[in-house]
Amino acid sequence: MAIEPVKKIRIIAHKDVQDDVIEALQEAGTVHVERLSEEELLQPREVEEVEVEQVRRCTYAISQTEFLLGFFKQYGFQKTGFFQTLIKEKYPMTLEAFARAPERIDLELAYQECSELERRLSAIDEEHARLSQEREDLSDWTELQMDLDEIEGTHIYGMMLVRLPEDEVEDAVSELAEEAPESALDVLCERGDLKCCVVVYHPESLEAVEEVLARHKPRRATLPRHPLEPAERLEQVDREMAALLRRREILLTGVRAHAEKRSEIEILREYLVNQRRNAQLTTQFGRTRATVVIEGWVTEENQGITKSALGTVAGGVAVELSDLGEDDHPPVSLKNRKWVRPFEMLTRLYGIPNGIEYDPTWLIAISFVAFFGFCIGDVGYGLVIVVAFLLMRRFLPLGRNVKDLLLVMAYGGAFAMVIGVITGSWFGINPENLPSFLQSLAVLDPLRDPIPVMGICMALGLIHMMSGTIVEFRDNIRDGEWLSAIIDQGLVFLFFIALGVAVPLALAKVVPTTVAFLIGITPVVLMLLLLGRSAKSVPGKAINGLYETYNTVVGWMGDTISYVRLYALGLATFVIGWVVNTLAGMVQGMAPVIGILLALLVLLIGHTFNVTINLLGAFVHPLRLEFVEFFGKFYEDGGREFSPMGVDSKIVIIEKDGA
Amino acid sequence: MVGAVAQAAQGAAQASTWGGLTGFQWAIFGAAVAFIGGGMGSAIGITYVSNVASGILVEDPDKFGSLLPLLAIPGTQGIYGLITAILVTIFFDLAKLTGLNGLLVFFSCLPVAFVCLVSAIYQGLTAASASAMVARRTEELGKAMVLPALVETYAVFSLILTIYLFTRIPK
Amino acid sequence: MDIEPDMTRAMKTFNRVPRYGTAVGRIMMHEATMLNWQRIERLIESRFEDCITVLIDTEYGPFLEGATVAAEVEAGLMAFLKSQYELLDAICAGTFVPDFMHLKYDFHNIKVFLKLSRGESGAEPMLSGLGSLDTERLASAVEGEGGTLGPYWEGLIRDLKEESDAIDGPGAVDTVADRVFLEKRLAIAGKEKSRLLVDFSRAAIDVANLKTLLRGRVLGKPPEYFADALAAGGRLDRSELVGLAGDPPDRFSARLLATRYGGMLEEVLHSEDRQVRLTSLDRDSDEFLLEKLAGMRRMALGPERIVMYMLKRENEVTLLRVVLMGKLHGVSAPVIERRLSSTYTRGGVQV
Repeated sequence: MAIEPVKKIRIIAHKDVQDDVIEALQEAGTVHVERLSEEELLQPREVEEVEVEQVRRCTYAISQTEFLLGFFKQYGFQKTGFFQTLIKEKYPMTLEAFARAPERIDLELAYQECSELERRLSAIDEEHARLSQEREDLSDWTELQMDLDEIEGTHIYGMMLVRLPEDEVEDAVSELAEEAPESALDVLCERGDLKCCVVVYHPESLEAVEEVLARHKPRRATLPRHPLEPAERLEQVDREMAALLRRREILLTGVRAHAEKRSEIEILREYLVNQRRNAQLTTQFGRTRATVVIEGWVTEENQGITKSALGTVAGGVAVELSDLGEDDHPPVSLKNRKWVRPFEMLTRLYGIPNGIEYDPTWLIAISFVAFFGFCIGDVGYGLVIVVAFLLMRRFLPLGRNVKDLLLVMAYGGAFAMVIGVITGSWFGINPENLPSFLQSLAVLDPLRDPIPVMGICMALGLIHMMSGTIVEFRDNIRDGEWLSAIIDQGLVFLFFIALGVAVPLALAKVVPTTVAFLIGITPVVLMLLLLGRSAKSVPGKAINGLYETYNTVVGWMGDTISYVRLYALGLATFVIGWVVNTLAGMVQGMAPVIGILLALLVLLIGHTFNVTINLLGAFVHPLRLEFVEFFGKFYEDGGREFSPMGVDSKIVIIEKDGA
Repeated sequence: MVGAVAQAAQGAAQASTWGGLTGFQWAIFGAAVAFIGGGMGSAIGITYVSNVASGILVEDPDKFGSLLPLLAIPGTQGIYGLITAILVTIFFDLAKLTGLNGLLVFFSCLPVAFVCLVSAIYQGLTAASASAMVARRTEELGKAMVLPALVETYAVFSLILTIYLFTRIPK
Repeated sequence: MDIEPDMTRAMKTFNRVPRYGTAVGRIMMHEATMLNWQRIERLIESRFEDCITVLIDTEYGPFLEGATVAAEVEAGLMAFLKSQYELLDAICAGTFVPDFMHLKYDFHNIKVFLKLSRGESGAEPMLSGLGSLDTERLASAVEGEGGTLGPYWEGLIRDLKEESDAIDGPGAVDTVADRVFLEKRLAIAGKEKSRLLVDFSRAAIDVANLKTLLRGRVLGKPPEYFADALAAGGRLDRSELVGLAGDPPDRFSARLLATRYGGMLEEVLHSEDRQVRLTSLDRDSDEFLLEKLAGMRRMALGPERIVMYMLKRENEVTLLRVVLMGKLHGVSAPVIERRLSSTYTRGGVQV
């Protein structure tokens, strides 16, 4: 039984020890809390201020930690290398250490200081941006030898700075002379295609001047007022900008000091998220005046642990366990033998089986390893995968899922070595160059004689899909769908049995071909007659039967051929490895000593590339065979995952004491 | 008369050239076409997925790991093209290939060339759409992967057919 | 000026992926953060303060945090919508999609200024930051100053002004501007070379034309009104519709029922009750446009998905406004729910 039997649990405690109960449950990590009864007495009480306040406080603190983390990131105090994005930093720690997260850092203080730093930094950045804009504006007018204050003019004269396209200047001058005689335009300097001009005019002719200029694609410049000439002001701006940058550096050292505590803050955030979830869960509890009632699910295996964990709560709590009723839909907890357990990850990837579905994880485990082995199919690569992944699993701080994945692939790598021996594939070395005893081990030659290997792949596929069909057969029997089991699955079995009998008989000429043909065709005829039974009218049954038979026969054929991809992927590994070796051989011949070094480099890069690219293929394609060809025969997902109350975090990994 | 035709056919089968190209040349032509199809298709297909994936990553860089399988899926067609091309050079004794057999090698390469080209492009589109599922929930990766993997079936079939056809051509 | 896209466009599906792929990828992530109906129901059941707490974890969080009064909620929602439009501008730079989306706000603002310049009262507030045009420049352009918005907009504003000045009475600006808006949007959709956006814009024109036609007849508008108000470019020929306006009722109904929109109009044309007529038309036409939009979902990797997302977001904001304002004014949950059902279709889009 791979889906664990669960029981309902009801915990009744005095409300004063509620926090202790929660702590005990969290530490045990065995109870999936969920409201079950609808009885009047146990209605979740109106959300009390305390809980709401608790949620709100956590939310506020979480947003503070997020501000801090975002702030560090913004100012570049976070490692953002390739591996950091691929593998998040993990923090293994005990539950007690995790519970002490708030003590290790003064969040409020850090927040106060950092938001002050942030305010000052952004003020500096803003000022810096303003100054560099001013700098850009001024740089066109450095030749102007008058104070910036004077530019605006007085009641006697007006003055404006304007940039005109080179070919417009002449026209502008002549038009000004005509339409606004009390004005003058001087070209100060050139900046690219534009001429920087100073226009001086009598205030009364301002409108006329503007009208003229508007015809010549002007770009007006407005400079800030200062009692300095533009060139002087420019120097001043430069000095101010340099000063700003120095102040920024000083502030950044302040940020750095805080950023050193980044991991503490990340842990704290995880802690707060967990706290908030617990606080939200408490609103699910039922209440009487003096007690709190926690309901949920516990696996049969863990009921003892749960009871003893709750037994430690002072004042005592009452624990009631009861069996499932008819209408209960418990969450699904997968439970498999130790070596199968990592493969549960693959089942989860598709979706948790619904409560009554058979847990196919052990079938997936066997077939996935076999398929993966075929796709890599090389002794050398298999060895590399086994060693590298086991080492990574041992020494890198990784989440449980990733560790499972590495173990799954290591199993596959081990099987790939077996396949490699059989097919004579050693790092893609040309089989003819292998030592003769290795050659003699290679009973298959996928390169020159592909048909047998393809046949093996299809046979594997048939077995694989047949196992799925057997599961569905069993499911139908369990549900009392005898007819469906005998017709839908039974006929498929009969079809293959008949095929298995008829073909050898015909080939061995024990019976005439006609008889063999009749044996082989019988299940198909039965299918034609029976598969269309769901349609209402007789012609409908006939058409439906034809359609379903076609679907079944062609579907099984197509699905079977689909398994030949294993051969193709295995061949790909070998062929690319072979190309890499050939390339290395060519490089080696080019120069005496450097040639060997270069060849080694080619081998290293080439084979690494090959392993990486084929790992992806060897993961995706077998998985597709599981999900489409295999699951298609029987699987129904839609279960809820059994998620016990406990610490749930992607980056904090809780270690049991002494583990 | 019949004898003469049969003899002529025999002669054509053994002639060292067909249509002006030697068997060697036809075979290399086929190998090149097979990879051109597969490689181009994969390049285009991967471009499509990675375009969409890059958008998702702008919003959430943590999804990189879960998007990687989707990014890699349209890459297999290029590998199939490469296998075909290399197989041509390993499988046959190119120097001794007659013109007609070379032509057959060329034709046998065409399923991979065309099917891989088209399927990789469509697989890229499918994978790009399926990445929306990963964008919503990382846990959906399993289902998201199935959709584009279905498109791949026909690329696999084309490779199988091409290899099978190779075994039917006299070396 | 028929902008039916030629067949070569259909072949361009592939090329659009590199162009919009990244934008669509980003949109996918934003789609994932949209509120689902359960969340909305939870909001309806909660008190106002709890609504804000629930929303903290959503994209609305930073905009609504600490909001306690109507003005703050309104400002927060507008700021959120603005942020969405900034996102749109950033991810679709260089395409016509932002233009397509901004257009309605630009026209809204133009209308506001035009009404002000005509001295009409009751102008709606300006929506700044959502249109593509700077409102100050827009104001000066409406005043007649040149050189600020470029020839396209200035010409457009001038035309709008002249046309609406030629008509007497209130509502002239709306009549003209609403028509021009629909036509311009269709033109943009054509430039974007998206068959679905063109289809959508044309359907929107038809629906708007039919509404104008039916309302206009109910209100007894003169024939010149229809010539001003009916937009060109829809599936139904504009000149024919203008001609229809003066026809006797029997002929009018028969002609309309024979069009592709006949099914939608049946109830409206046959009902005696005026109120039934117009509300049922509103509902049916919205549903019709919704179906058009649903087609966009199939074009998973083009500009349609982005437009669809923006429309859905706008709808979501409208909906949140109804809920939050309702909560603030102590409206009961069932009433809010009833109000929502007329503005929001579950998972759908209000256009």
